[in-house]
Amino acid sequence: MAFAVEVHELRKAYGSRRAVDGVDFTVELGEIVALLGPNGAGKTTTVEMCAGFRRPDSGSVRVLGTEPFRAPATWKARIGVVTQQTTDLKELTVAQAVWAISGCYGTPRPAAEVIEAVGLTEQSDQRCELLSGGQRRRLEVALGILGSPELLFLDEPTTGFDPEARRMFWSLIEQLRADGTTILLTTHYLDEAEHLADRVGVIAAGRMLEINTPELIGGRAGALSAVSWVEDGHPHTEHTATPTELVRRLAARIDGEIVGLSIARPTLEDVYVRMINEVE
Amino acid sequence: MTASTVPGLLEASLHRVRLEIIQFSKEKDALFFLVAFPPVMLLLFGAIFGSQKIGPAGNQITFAQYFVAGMIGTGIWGACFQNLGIAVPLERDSGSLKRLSATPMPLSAYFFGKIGLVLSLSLLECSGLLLMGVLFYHLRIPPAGHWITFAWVFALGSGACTLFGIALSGLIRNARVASSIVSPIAIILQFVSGVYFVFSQLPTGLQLVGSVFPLRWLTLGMRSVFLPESYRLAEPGHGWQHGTTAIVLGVWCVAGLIVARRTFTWMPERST
Repeated sequence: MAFAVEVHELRKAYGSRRAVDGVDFTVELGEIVALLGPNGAGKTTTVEMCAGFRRPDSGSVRVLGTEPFRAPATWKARIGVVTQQTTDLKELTVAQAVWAISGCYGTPRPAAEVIEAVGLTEQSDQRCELLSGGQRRRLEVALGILGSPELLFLDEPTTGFDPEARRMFWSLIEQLRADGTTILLTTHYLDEAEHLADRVGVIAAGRMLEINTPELIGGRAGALSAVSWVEDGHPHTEHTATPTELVRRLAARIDGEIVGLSIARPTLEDVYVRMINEVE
Repeated sequence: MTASTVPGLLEASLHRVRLEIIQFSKEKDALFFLVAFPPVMLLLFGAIFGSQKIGPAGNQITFAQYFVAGMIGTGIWGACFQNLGIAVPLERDSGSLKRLSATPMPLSAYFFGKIGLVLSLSLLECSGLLLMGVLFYHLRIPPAGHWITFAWVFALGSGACTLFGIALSGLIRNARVASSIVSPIAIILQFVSGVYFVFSQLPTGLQLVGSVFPLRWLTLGMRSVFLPESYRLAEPGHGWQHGTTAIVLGVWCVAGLIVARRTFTWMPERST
């Protein structure tokens, strides 16, 4: 079995609204895949069908070789799930909360070890309701990895984080990757997807527009680059598929340093916005 | 990987019981309304109406004695029905149930945890009220045979109230709506079930309403345990009606179980 997740023609409607409308993708073992998309695009519903929370209307999902909805406990022991907006365990301390959920596993990782892994050792004896947003999400990850999952689902793990908290979170995810954990995450943040993911899937209006490496998605590698410079006191910008050639010509034409020279490849954001706009 | 990563049912259930008790002990609202409320009401009513005589001429008892028996039933009612009817929707809204459903824990361990909690609370409540009754309100410790009645009334009554609470939590899934519905139901039924007023003196219509629900039979059963035998003459039908009590509580258990099985969900309602 080469794939951790195999999704084919997946569909799910809530009433008349088609939340997921024919999504296909795979996640390889050991890979980190990020699903990007606007609010209501169907990211969460897709992940929830992969994690076994919801039954698909049609299409197929196989996760670690099993259909997730109503999957047996032996399957659940191999996955970890971090969902959005979980607010339970508030009155407990961090250590108690980890103890509370470790009882859901036959052989959980030691509490102190997962608390350490998410950098909450100092907050061990603090009540969960007093944690900051970023600390709470890290606690959620601690609870999600208690069972040493082979596959971890993270639904918008860093929404509302300040930049420093997000950096800390990224190194946590990189540590999990180094341990061989396969990760499927959703995010609103393009820099996050670019930084963490081996491949990025863009979902809009319930459909997977494309899934590819961050460098290649949306035809990014072959897209025109914007070369900007200042000449005779006026700013110039030219879009070109051959920026090197353009710079060579500028260097020949202009004496000395070219003022304000920059070459901008399209960012993931540029590509993403164009892809989303084409759908809407 | 291996089946060893799945916890055993017994192990997981005992863990859940411990966790439920720890979490409950940290909730001040619930501690007051579900644990302290019956003893406080007993002290209040005992002070205000306690010495009034009720019951058949020649064998009268004080209202305080009557009230202790009713409060013991109410303690079980609060610990089981009111507690779960409010707590389960809150846990569903908070994502707690969703979280549990994604772990390898046997899902029945969640319910065994709740049962362990409500039985612990109910027993605590019963013993506290009984102690107060004996110390302050001339309640006699019942003879040995009555404890058999106590055992089955307690078992069927707490079962009926627990399953009623879980069933209602499946029908009313929104936590805010649930707490604004469950508490009024719990309190209104106390008025029509012979807790605050002598049941036989209630208007017939209210007696009928009360008779549909488990609390009226739970309190009647507790009166049959703790009040003198002669008091049965003051009950409707001049008897303790153990047969009817067992049937009504049993039907509530079965109906509650059926509705709970059909309506219970681990997922919070979608906000979008």
